[in-house]
Amino acid sequence: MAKLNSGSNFKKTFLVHAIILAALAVLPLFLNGYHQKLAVEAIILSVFAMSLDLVMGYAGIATFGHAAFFGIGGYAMGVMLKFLFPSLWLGLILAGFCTAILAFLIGFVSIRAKGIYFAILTLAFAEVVYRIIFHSYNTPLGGSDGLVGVPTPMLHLGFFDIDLRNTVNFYWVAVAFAYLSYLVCKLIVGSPFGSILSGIRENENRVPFLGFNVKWSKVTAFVLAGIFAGFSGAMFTAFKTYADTEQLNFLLSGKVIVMALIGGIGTLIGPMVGAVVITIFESVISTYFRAHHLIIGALFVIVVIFMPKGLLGLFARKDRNNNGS
Amino acid sequence: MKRLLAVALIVVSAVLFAFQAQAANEILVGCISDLTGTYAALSKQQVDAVNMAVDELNQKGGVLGRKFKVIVEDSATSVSLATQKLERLILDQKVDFVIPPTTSSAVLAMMPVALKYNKLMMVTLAQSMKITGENRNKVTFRCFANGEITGKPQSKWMVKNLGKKYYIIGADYAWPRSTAEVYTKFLKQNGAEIIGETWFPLGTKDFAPYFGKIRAAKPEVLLMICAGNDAVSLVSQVNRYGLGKQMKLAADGSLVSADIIKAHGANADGIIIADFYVSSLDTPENKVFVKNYMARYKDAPSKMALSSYEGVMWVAQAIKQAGSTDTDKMVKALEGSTYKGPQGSKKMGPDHQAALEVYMIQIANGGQYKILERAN
Repeated sequence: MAKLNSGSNFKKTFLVHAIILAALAVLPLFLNGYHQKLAVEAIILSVFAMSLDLVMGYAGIATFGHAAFFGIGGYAMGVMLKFLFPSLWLGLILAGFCTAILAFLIGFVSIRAKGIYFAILTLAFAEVVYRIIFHSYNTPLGGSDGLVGVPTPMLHLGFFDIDLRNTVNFYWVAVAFAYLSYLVCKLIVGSPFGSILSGIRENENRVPFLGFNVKWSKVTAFVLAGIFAGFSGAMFTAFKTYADTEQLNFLLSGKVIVMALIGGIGTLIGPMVGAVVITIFESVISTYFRAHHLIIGALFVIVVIFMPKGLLGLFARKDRNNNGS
Repeated sequence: MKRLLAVALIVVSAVLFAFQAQAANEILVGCISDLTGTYAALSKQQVDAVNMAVDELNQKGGVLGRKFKVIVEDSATSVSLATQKLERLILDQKVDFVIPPTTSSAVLAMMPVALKYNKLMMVTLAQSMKITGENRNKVTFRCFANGEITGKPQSKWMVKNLGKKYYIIGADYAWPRSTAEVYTKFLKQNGAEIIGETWFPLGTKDFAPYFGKIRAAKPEVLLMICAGNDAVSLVSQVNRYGLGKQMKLAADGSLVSADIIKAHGANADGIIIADFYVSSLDTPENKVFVKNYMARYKDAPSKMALSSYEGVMWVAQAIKQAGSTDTDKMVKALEGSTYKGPQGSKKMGPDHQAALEVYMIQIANGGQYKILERAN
């Protein structure tokens, strides 16, 4: 993938982005209601998978508790829309705020551990968050019954409002949300800070000798990833009209890793593709086969063994040779 | 080769994505069931019973000259998958009504979706109090019991027959807690008191540490609220430590439900529950139902199977009465209607909850359900 700001490459990138966005924009016109809904879900989840790529693909930190941020973002949005104020913007702000604090606390405490120990700590913290919400019976969060009946808001854009109860409208907003998230993450990984993250991934011990603080860089990456996961969870809740403990569960933390690896980590776009593939696969295959988890598992094994760089790795290779980077 | 594989994967998903089936004049029953995951066993009974009901209806020529067809979807004990499948059944398959899965959180999340598309849902398994009553919505009905249906008559009966000092032990999550609240409310109404409560985490193996506290409190009745493996462990240890000699044992029906009664063996003997159905219920309709169910599935029907069977039959009766599968007309026909099935005769209340007959039942003779008397 070419950088966003380099001459003729910029033109080419711009063209590619324009074509993909145009194709995505007209897609719902060819889909029926259920497939439109599924598409919105897949696009929202693609941002969740991409956020994982920031820590896992770029900084090389494995985390098993990423769903905690997705779920907390979802609950933040649910609380905002149902109890406080029906605004998507305020919901996103609250989701970002809550997940940033949570990610900072978890990251700050856990970061002294490395590798699998860090991953286990994130799993433990995520489980604590899950249990607290699960047992929040008799609070407005609804405990294991979930927070249901979240109203779908209007999206206020200053000069006009978009009615998000219309699935196609929500679809276009989701595409814009995913694209903007992608651009911001692309800027992050292309920045000097992104290079530090890649440095940490490649050789953590050498980075301090270059004058960079490994610990704070890792915590920052963890927090950024948490915030984007939170945004994604918030959009999910706004769309599905509920927040459920399932969004916090370790099973989802595992699923998002599968999504990212199947798509191809360290590419941002790879995990997004992986999320779309898994979401569609899961929903459609489970209709025809009872053993759909088995099929997704087999797919995962095939991809990991035969395509270690994921589905996207197959198509990106040629591109990389051309750019010589 | 690898690229070919990737392309093949994409093509396969595209084909699956585009694959659709449409049916003609049939009345389509959408059955969303947790066929994989924790509730797989009882969800299979749900699907079996729905299929059996539809076959019986079709043998009699269907309703309004239209035959029934079941479309089963697996929601895999997942809330997001359950709502996706509901959207698929409504938007894609155009079903006429829906039987939702076991998980209460999934049903609660599905309710606004069903309301949005104005599609009837007959809840046959989920128990949460929030589904009917003051939080009900226009299109959702339930023919299964919630905590109050059994809790109210059971509390009254227990205070009269067992004692006035109660100790509650249960698993620590929403369903047991809300069930305990129901018992507490009705026990107190009848003049009993709750002298202690213990909440253990799901998956607890060793209950001995809790027993000291329970013994010290000297309750007349120990009331147990949990299900599945927790129930099997709790009951076996209550039996081993001889708690039944010092106090009477009572429980919510799920503690000894049909799916785990064999696992209890004789350990559960003596425990008293209230429930709206056991397969040994002695009515002519039930004898026919049990015989047919046994012939098809080689096992006695549980209350989950009974409820799913009756749910389909009740909606079919409403369709016949309404003369149409129009949702508004079906809703109108269901509201206040009476249905007589294997379990007995019952009326759909204005709160969209069926008022079920409830029986006091004691476990006896190594895991048999012995009906003591009608409780309401």
